[in-house]
Formats: sequence, structure tokens, C-alpha cells
Amino acid sequence: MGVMNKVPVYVEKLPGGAIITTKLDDLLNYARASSMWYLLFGLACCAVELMATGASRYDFDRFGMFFRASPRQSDLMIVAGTLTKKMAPRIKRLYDQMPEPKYVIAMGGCVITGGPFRYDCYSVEKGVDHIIPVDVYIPGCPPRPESLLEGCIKLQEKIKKQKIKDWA
Amino acid sequence: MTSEEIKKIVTEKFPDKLKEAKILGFEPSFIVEKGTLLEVCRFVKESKELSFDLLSCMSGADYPDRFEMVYLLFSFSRKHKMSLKVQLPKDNPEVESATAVWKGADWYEREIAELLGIKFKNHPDLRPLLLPEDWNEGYPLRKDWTGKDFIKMPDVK
Repeated sequence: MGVMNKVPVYVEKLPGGAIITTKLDDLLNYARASSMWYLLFGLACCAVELMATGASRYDFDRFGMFFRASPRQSDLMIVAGTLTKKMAPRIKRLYDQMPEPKYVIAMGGCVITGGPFRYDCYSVEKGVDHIIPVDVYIPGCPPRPESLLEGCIKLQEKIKKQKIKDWA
Repeated sequence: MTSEEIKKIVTEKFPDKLKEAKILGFEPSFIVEKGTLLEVCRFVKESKELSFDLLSCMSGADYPDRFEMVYLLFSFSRKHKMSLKVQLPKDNPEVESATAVWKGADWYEREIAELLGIKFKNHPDLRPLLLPEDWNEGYPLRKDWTGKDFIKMPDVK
């Protein structure tokens, strides 16, 4: 009865079954927050930490998170690693190919501000938020898997506050 | 062959075309006149006792008063090394392409040409190599370069 523990529901018992009454907001948000499939790609060393988080020791799968190799099947983009100016248009393109609703996590110093490449550097984009909108920033160089998990929990909290009436 | 012997052979072959010949660390190093670079390269590659058959590294440097090209050479058969340098003027730096001697100079020179703006004469295909396709902000490895969102390191004291 996972849904009933996490979503406020009103259960009415009937002979042979039950009727559940709940808010559509809560049900949709629960579904979205519990199956954030992320786009499988990495740009630099943060990607190794992302792989570690996806593997069995830290286990992304217990959040219902699982990598997809195609942007068309992904809900979440984890930008992990140094974003070069040459890569920036490709990131934009991948983001545009993802279906709504879509979320972005900026993982690591390079993606947030340029990190160690902020000063005196011609090749690195100074923050992925110049290219695409970001929901959660995770600082660190690279962030530990625990930080990434924490960031995903923050994103789940954010998703659970969404309202249908705010949809464009 | 020892560094002293290499230095002796090259200086005897080109007595008046070397600006400088010395032993840098363990390796002989020569500063060559710009016009005679290819001649020296051909000699050190083709001479029997030197036989520098590998251009193992090639770099460009931006000094306050000049550009400098550095050619690091290695010989597989003799197991010895040396370096050649050419000094180029700040305005219109131009040098003969080393691809005529070592084919491997091709991509080194493309990279140096796009990042430092040194021109290589008679290069077979001097297209940009690494920068984004729509790059139009000049030569980013020059010391005086600034670009659109370039941030200079602040003085931290």
C-alpha cells in the first residue's frame, strides 16, 4: 500500500473492495516524484560519481530512478561534469528533446559557475543555467553520492509542491 | 649519442645559421633562424648518426616580445632527444610548416594555428581543429586575449 502511505487519501470501504478519494495533484506528483528517469550521459569526472550513485552500493533505483539512454524517455537531466562551450549547444538540444515535465539537476562546481575553470579560461561555459533552466544545484568537486541523493530528495520535495492549476 | 656529440654535429653543419646552441637539462637545444628551419629539420632527420625520426611534441609559446615555436625531437633507433626553437615576431608570426619533414606535425600545427594564430606556410590543410565551429573571437591562448564572457583572475593578496 505504498501510495496510501505517501499520498493523503480518503478510503471508503465497500463490500468487495474500496473507493479511494484523493487530490489529482497529489497522485500525479507522487507518480512523477517516484519515477524520475534520468538521461544517461556525463561530461567529466562528476559522471563517475553519478555512475557510483546509480550502482548497487548507493542505489538510485530505490527512488525509482533509472537511467534512460534516450532523451525522449527521460524526465530528469543530471548535468554531471565540466560543460564546455562546444558542448553547450548539444546540451540545449538534448534538453529540447526531452518531453515535459522535465527537470534539471546541476551537479558539481563546473556546472554551477565554471568551478576551477571560471577564471582565465576560454573554453568552459560559466554555468549551465546560461543554457537551460536548473531546478537543483549540488555543489562539490565532485559531490559525493550522498550529496547527489540529497539533491534528488530536494527535487522530489519540489515536485510534490506542484499544482495542476499552475500548468501553462 | 650524448648531448655534447649531437650539439657538435649540428653546430659544425650549420655554423652561422644557429642563434644559440646549448644543453638544456640533459638535452641539446638550438635556436634556429626562421628561414633555415626546414633545412635544419631535414638534416637532423636524414643524417645517419642523428636520425631524428619522431616529432614527439610541438608547441607554440607567447612571450612578451616574441612568439616561439618549440619542436621536441626523438630518435627511435638512437634513443636520443633534442629540441629546436624558432623565434617569430609579434606582428604577423609566420613559419614554414614542418609537415614537409614530419607528417605528424599536421594536427599540432592546426591546433597552434587556431589557438595562437601562428601561420604555417605550405601546410596541406590548415582548418581549425578544436574550437567550436562558429568561433569568431580570435586566438584564445594569446596572453592579451579577452573574449565575450572571459573572466580575468582577480588579484588575491
